[in-house]
Amino acid sequence: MKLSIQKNYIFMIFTFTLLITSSFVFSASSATIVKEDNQKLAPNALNDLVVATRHDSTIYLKYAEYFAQSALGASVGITSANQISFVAPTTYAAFETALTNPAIGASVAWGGGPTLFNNLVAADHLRSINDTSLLNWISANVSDTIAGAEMKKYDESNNLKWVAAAISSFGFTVNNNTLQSRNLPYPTTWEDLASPEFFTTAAQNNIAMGNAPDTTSNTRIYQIILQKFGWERGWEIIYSMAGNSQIYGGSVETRAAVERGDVAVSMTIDFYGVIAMNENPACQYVIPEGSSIVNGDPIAISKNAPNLDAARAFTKFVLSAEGQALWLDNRINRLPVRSDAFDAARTLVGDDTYIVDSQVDLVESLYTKTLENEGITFDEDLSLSLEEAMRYHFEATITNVHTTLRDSWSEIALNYQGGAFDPAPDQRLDQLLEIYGVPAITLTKAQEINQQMISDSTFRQEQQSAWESYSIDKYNEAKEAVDDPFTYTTETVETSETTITTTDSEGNTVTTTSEVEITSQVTEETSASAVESSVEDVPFNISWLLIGLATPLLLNRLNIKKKVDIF
Amino acid sequence: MENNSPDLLETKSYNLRETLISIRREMRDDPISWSIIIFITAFFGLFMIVPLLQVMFGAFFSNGNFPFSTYQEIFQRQYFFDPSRNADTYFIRIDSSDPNFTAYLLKGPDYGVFLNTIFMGVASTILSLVIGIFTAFLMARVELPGKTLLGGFLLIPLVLPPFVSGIGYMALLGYNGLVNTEILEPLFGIRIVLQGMFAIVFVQSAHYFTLIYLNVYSSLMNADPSLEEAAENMGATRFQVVRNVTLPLALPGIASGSILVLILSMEDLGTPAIFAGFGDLTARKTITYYILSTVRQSLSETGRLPAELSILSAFLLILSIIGFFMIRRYTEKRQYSMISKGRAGTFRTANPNILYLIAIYSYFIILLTLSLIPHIGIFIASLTEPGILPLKWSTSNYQELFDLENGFGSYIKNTMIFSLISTGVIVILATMAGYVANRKQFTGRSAFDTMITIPLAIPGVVLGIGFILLFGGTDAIPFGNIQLTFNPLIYAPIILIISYTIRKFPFTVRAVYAGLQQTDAVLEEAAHNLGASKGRTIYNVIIPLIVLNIVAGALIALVYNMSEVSTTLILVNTQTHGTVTWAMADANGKIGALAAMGMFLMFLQALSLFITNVLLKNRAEAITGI
Repeated sequence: MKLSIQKNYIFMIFTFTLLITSSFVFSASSATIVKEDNQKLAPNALNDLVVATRHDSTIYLKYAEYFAQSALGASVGITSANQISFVAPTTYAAFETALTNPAIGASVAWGGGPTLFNNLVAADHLRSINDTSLLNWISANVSDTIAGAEMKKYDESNNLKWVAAAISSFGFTVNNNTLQSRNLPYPTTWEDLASPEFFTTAAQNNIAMGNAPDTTSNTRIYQIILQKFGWERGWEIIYSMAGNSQIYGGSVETRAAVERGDVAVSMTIDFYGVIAMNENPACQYVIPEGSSIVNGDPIAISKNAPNLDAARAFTKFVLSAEGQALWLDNRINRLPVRSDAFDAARTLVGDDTYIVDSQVDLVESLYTKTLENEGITFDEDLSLSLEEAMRYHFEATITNVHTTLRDSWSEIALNYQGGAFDPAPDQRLDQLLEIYGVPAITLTKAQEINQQMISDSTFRQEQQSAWESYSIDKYNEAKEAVDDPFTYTTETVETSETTITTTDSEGNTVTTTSEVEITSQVTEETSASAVESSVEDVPFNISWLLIGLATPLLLNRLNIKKKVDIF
Repeated sequence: MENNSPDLLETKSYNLRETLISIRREMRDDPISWSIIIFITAFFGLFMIVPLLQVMFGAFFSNGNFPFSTYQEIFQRQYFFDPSRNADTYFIRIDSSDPNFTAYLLKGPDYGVFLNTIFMGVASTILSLVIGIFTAFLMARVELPGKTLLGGFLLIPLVLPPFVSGIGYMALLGYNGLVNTEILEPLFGIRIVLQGMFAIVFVQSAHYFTLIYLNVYSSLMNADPSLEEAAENMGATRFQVVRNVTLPLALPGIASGSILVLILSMEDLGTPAIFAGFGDLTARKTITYYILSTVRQSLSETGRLPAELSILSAFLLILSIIGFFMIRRYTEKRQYSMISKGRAGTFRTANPNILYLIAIYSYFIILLTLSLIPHIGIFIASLTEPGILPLKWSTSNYQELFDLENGFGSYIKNTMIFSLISTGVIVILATMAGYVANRKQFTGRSAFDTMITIPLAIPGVVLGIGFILLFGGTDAIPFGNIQLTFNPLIYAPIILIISYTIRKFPFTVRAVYAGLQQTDAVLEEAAHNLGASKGRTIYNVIIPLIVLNIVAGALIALVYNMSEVSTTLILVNTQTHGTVTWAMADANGKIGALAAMGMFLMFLQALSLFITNVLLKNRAEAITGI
């Protein structure tokens, strides 16, 4: 017995060793992934550089390769692409962790748009760029503003926090084939997209819009519309556009929808537009006339950068002409922040298989167009002060009630197209928009509740719930109002000539003839004949369920005696 | 067996002190088994029980109080709870606004997030039951030419990787799908489109009916033919035999299969996610999708998870766990004592006449067409250039797939690495756990058994949220050069592999368990008697006897690991750690590459299932994990 107990102990030790080895094999193999994947948890040698980036792997691997070959790379001891590792966080929380947690120790933050970086500045995760030589080099080589947009961000005490490494504009991508097959006009402005003319049938969605809380780029587009047209008119346009739209989740989904041709137009940031153009040649990116803005896509140095020299060198490389040229890789297609990037890129043609002349020309023409486009002056602080409220307001008044919204808009649009609003269709549309297009909150209210929308989820539920029921009522009201007779004003302009005879200082009689326009407004009322709706809803009927349930019971009662071959 | 004091077994004591004493005695008697039990309990405790308790805690306490106002807001909001259905929806819509055709849009109910999830589960289960039982009857009781081939085809829906189901569905059955534009519109002047809950239920049932079919089929094949014959001798009609003898015999199989489908369809994230990706807003209104999108939104903004997430998760978790215990109850009832042991005689199968044959084959053709639509759809999509009609054949999608440095190749590499490591861990742990659970009588055995099989019922999104709540704020612990962290925001792979291990554990453990059940303990005892030590017995006797089961179980775990969706989507926050399913959810612009990835997954799954099937023969239980 004793022997066997001893043996048991030996076996117990054996099992424990096995368990411990297995867990070691397990963690060690995880660690080998770390090595293989070239994303070490902590840089082993001082030379190594960790970069946190929102950019795609195509982009960062390309930059790593060229940086390692460059003199800048060599100056900080980085001669192989393996010495730079990238973490590509897709969420803010992960981005923050990458910059702050010493286990990752990212020295450079790169890409993701100004909103993300301004949040990082607010949370004090970025280091001021105070190295004099780098600072001077940046001010000599990167312009302060492009098309009115800031390319450099300073904090209150005038420290440089981030520099734009690329620019982008916001607009929409059209699919010409779909436009043609649905007989839609070619849109050039946001108002074109909001027109009832852009509506075809209830089951066909012509525009793809992203749900604001799910996509930052589409949120920016809505902010641009709200700032260009003002809060009230802006929402009218967004609601009308939503009436012509299908609401998707993220920006990738909206782009995919236009590439597939499910919709004719999709909200996109410029480089998504270029991607769509490459994936499907029928697609074309449009910068809406006079109403786009340019955004800088930043690069910055982390506050606790473990490898400061390499971080500075990498930043400098990304901002150099050579580095900027890499944006023109035909798989990347981003707009550089420096205009000399195009010439630098042309020198790489032939050496680099992905940089080709035609694509460089294409992006250059987009670049010129972007700079030429007269944008709006965008108030960054205003947009930030109501961003969260606006996003959840969008979700509650559009995404979550979209069936009702579309039913209402389809009634309006079909009547508009069908001539029921004659003789004053636009006036009638405006009247209906006064019901249909009213946001649930005012601009001041949005700014007021913005902070609480972030911090208090119960409050957010309460607000969204109220906005949803408000919107359903509003859309139904607008839908019913379509059938009502309406008043419209006709303006008749009469020109009458008046001759005034005066005596001037010298005593001569001077006769002046002036034309005066007299506008007389006549308010008339019509009994509008609404276009008959071609949509019919069949409601759920409880008797179907009862019949469904009763059938097997009845069959059971029949008690079939006859022999059936099969059973 | 090893227990030297049999009286201890009979003492059913609920006294904690006595239980502890008895455990201590058992430990002294058999330290090996107990070290396994303790290790596995600790592993599951840390990575399953504690995270789930954290979620449950969040649902019932907020700053120490019951979050009454949160519940109030949720249940007052029509978006979540709308039993009267007066908000934003239509049931069926007939749209004749296009001059060329009349569109029938079948959207189905929309009762808000909570009730939609329940509807989705119940409706998918009922539809799968109807199809599954009927198909199983035809396959088991009717003589059909080409039955083997049919049986093979019926297994194909099992190898459906997530997400791709939606692509094939859209390409063929969507508003602008081929069936509508090429068949229904020219022939009948109509288009029929399933949307919302109807579309989800359709796709789910076309996939899940296989689980019911397999369960019922094996029940029917295992039933004693003499019972049916006896009933017939007593004058029962064919219909009465089916109703009163055959169906009751198959009932436990039907019941456990249908509860499995109920759980799987309620916690399914892939199907709602793909429809939401195609712009279907009703698909957003399911608990799983709501949880996913809210987690992603809040991680993208504040990093704090809102209170309603815990409540929704707890709701889903409780529903699934109730379902799980119902399955257990029914599977225990499954053993009917048959008059004759083994398979006595064969079933007399019906020989249908030609008319019935035609009817049956039309049924199978329609069924297989509908359930294989996704497979056909992605096969075509994977071999064509994206976007443009007419189809242009090319292999560029596959080339992109295997470019390991850039783009999609890295996702495949990640998927393979994570799944293989996790499968390795599962094999080691599940073999030990299966051995202990099967061979050892010990205090708390049924609790242990429950613990290692319950992950099957735990919704992935809930476990993912538990991990974020528990480990989201923790730091890395340095071990020399390596740093260990469970925080998904710092380094996701470790916690991801752990989550794979936990979630797919039951599949392997069941296979091992089944193998041990078939291996008589006498063989071990003989080895013992001949002087072999316990380790030697395990190494030389037990392992060789159950190695096939281990391999089969490992393959199933591998397959399910590779196509894991829910925890992957929640835990992976960096592109560098993305897996195939993660990329599929995020990159649905590239349909071609996505389809190629789907084909790749499907190929691996089919291969593994084929091998498993050869190894395990007709044991459907191992495949379904119950």
